[in-house]
Amino acid sequence: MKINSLYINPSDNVAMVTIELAAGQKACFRDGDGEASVTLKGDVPIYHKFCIKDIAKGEHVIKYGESLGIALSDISVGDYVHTHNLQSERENID
Amino acid sequence: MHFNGYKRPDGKVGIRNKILILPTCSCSSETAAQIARNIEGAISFVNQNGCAQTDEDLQITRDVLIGFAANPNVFGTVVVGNGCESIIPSVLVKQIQAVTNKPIDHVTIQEDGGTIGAMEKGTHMARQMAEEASRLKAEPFDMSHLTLATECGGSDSTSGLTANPVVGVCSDLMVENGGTVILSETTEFIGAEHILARRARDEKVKDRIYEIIERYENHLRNVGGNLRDGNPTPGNKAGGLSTIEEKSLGCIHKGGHTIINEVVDYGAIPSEKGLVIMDTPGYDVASLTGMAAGGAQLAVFTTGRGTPVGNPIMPVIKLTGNKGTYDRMTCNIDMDVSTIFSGEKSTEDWGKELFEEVLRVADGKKVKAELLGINDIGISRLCNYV
Repeated sequence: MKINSLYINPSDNVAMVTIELAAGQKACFRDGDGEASVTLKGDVPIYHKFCIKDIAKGEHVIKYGESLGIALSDISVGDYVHTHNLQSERENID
Repeated sequence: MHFNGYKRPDGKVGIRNKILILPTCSCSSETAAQIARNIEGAISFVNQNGCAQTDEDLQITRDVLIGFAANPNVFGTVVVGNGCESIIPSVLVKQIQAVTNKPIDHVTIQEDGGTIGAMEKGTHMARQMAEEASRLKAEPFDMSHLTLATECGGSDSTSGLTANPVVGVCSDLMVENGGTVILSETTEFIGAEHILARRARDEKVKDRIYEIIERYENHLRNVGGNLRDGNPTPGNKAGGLSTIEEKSLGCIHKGGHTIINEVVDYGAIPSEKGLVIMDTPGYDVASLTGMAAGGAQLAVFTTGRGTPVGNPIMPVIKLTGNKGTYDRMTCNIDMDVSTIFSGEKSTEDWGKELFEEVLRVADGKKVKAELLGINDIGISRLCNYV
């Protein structure tokens, strides 16, 4: 398998593609000493994120081992993750 | 570890030998620019502030102008005023003399014969300073005399994964060798402040980290605004950054892994060595401006989407982890660290390479922004003009 994506911290539930990938293609990444792959359910532009562990609506989306914000809907493995299903907890300060 | 620099009479060490033609306000900026064009090695910029400001807001502008004149890269300064602005030229000269004994003089357009008279007088002053500056020889100094500004702008998802960690390795090497590193951009600590707080030297520094973020959030609330109005930017989002938390978690990598010794106000000169934080806006040009006023002699600047930004006071070394951006903007960007993705060269190795580049630039190597003559200034504001 050709590596075309990566995640940073073992607790992350999203990974990033390093080339543009389309729905149905396999995102392959190093996982510990081995490799793992996920079949993408949506198109993922270069350097954007996809889900590698199911995330329920309201749960934290995790990258760098830290929270990026809250899932706006249930997100499952292979889903494209961006502003349509992930919201900051800090941008709206009202 | 040494670099070659120019010793100033106030004890500081510059890596460039510039004559600063310093406009007090918008009205004198074009005349200042005309003087700077006459003399090789003279620099100027458009000062959009300096008049019609509230006291606290004006103080930020004043601090930045004084900081620029005091920056070690500046041999001497010619202040160019109009004559009726809030920043009074002769007073500014005295305020600059209170912090540095470097050469300084001033011209006032209303008193010195309008633009042509002021230009003639100012050009004579600048020519004389440039001649004196040309006699200086660079000598070796240890790293305790060097302050590195760190900045990111036009970030995308590659920034937090490649270019910013590379800067982090370089920052750690700077600190290890006795130098000073400034981590900036308060709005881009939001969502990552708990990580920075853990690295604070003591409770006071920790409290200050939370305090500058709270001040920013309160300020936005007071003007009825939201972070999401401006940060992350549309370009950040197109580059894969979904939220301010994601941007911040990538941003803080630039500071490396050492203890945070101090938090200083915008444009203030750090009193501590090692890693310090400056309270600056996320707007990169304004942030670089604050760090140049704070005495940084050079900057490293990461970009994912690409930017031409440079600074008249200090060289700005630019790097990217986005190969497409580097290929499109090779004329603007000094280093492409995208080979981290293929595993060809590690973050650690690129960090060492960047540290060596910092030393080369300190020794006189010109960065691309210098070669292209790109000199951007944006002074931070507290409120609108009055």
